[in-house]
Amino acid sequence: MTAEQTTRKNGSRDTAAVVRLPRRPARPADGDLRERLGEFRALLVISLLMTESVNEEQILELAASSAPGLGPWRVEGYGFTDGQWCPGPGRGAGAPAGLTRQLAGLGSAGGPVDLPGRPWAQAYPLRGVGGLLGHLVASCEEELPAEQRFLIQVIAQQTGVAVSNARLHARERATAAELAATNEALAETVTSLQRSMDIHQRLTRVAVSGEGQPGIAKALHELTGMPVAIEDRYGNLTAWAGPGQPDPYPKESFAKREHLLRRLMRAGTPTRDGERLILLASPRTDVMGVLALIDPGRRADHADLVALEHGATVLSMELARLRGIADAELRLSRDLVHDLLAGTDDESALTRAEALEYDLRRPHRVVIVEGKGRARAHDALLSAVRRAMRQARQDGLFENWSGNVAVVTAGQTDWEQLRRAIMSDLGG
Amino acid sequence: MTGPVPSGIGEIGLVPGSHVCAFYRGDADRDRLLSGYLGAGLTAGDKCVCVVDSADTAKLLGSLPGACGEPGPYTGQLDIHLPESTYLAGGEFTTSDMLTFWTEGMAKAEVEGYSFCRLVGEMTWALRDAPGVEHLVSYESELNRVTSSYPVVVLCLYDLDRFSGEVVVNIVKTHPQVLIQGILVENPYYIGPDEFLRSAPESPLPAAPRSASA
Repeated sequence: MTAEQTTRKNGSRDTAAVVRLPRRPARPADGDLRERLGEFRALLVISLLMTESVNEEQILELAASSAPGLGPWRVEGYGFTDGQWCPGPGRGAGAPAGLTRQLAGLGSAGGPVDLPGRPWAQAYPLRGVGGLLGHLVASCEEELPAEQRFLIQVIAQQTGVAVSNARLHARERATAAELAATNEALAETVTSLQRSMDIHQRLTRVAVSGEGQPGIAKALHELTGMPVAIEDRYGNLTAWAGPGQPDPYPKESFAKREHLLRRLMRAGTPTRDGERLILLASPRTDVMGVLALIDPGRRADHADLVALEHGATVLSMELARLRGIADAELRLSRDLVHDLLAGTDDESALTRAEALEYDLRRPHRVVIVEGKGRARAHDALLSAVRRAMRQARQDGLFENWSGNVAVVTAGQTDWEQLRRAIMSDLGG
Repeated sequence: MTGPVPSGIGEIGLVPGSHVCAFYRGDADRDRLLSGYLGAGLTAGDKCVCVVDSADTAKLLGSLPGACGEPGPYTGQLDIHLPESTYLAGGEFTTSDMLTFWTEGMAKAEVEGYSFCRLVGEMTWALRDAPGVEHLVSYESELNRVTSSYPVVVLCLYDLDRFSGEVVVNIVKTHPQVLIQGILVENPYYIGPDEFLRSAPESPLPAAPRSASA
């Protein structure tokens, strides 16, 4: 095929792609021809290098820096369709004055451009998969022959393809990275959900199995791997699971404990207190217990906190159940004493005593304990009597009775010693 | 020996007298080329002479297994040099001194009984700011004259991350063969030493290095 130069009318800026092939020299000198062919080999290598690169900056630099090896021309820079300008080696950072406007007017055809101080300057389109990416702007101190212009055109074409590929690759990598991140987040969510389900199932099993506070502590320890303590509102240890149980168990002062409880009530969430992460178990407004994870290394993660919160809920239910039983027993006991003293419904009294696991079929006596103003509240006197009887290893039924306390008991005891014990409990 | 010899790089064979320019990216790629090329030479019983640009690389090559599979170091089959004692001996680069280094090395190998030589040079030394490095391209051109006269293959290693496109173009022009991405690109139109020196008698090193850290 005869090489020919395709030209367009001077001054026209049509958008048709123009491919300029070098004119066939009439009788090319053998040396010149071999030099041209050598340059094409070099172009092939440059093209291979561009193709293997996924770094746009590297591709542009390679194309621009190869120019001096191919001819007397230089790459002024690259103007992209988004208005960005990438300067060639040794050129200023900004685009030459008026060039961006000229490039915008050239479209995908390319063509001559006016550059201050450059007798010859031409913009060559950079084409990629998605169309025009921009232009390579080359300049020279003199008009270039067709062979040299052809070389620049090939360089520009290869640069465009390589840049396009690099951008596609970058987008693909970004998409892949985004997908990987999404997958990772999804996997984390699944893991977190799975652990939450494990926590829920394990603690629910404890709640319905009647394992009590030791069971709750053990389950929480197994779920978190950390030692677990359950305390009553006064700081007394009621259950422990895991290694390192202190002996004796430390107890804070009353004031310090109250301060801590107030802080926990305000927070309402797991709160760090030294080496422990603690949470209140308070089914209503009153504090019934405290659940603590012993975490000196501060390694508790989100799932551990979820387990602690869930554990506190289960503990609240357990404590509420125990409180309910105690309240019911007390109420039943009081009603029973009242009915016995009133002398009504003997058969029913026997049945209710059996429900309280109290043997009412023994001979009993009734003891009335008068407070005589020593107790500020009836319940205080009742509690003092109850404790004194327990210390004396005597069972019985108790009830407030017209400002005093009535005791129904089958036991034989030293009543004077009992009196002194009650007096001592009430502060003399 | 006239037929191609295994290059040790993929399935590529090299005919005696080959002067190949190999482009690579980064140390791992370089080490792969060096190990393959020299390993094949050691296995074949060739005399191997290499100039590498760091003591670490020299140490790595010292552990290559020898002709009989014995572990290195060698007793004469593999000579490892650094630029300070070769390309830049005396503090500057001169084409004639370096060509003498290679020819003397090949003559010595013949005396030692080797029938074939395998030479390799890591060219990053040329990125240093040393006198004479501007003659790199003319040296590469002159080296073609030497290799055509000996039973030898020569590999010149150029790091694409460190040499500019201009150097790449000129190196391609002066090498009969270019190895890139595992492909051997023949260049029957390469510019021979006489022509190159006639067209560019004062040919400078075509461009400043991209990275001036070496």
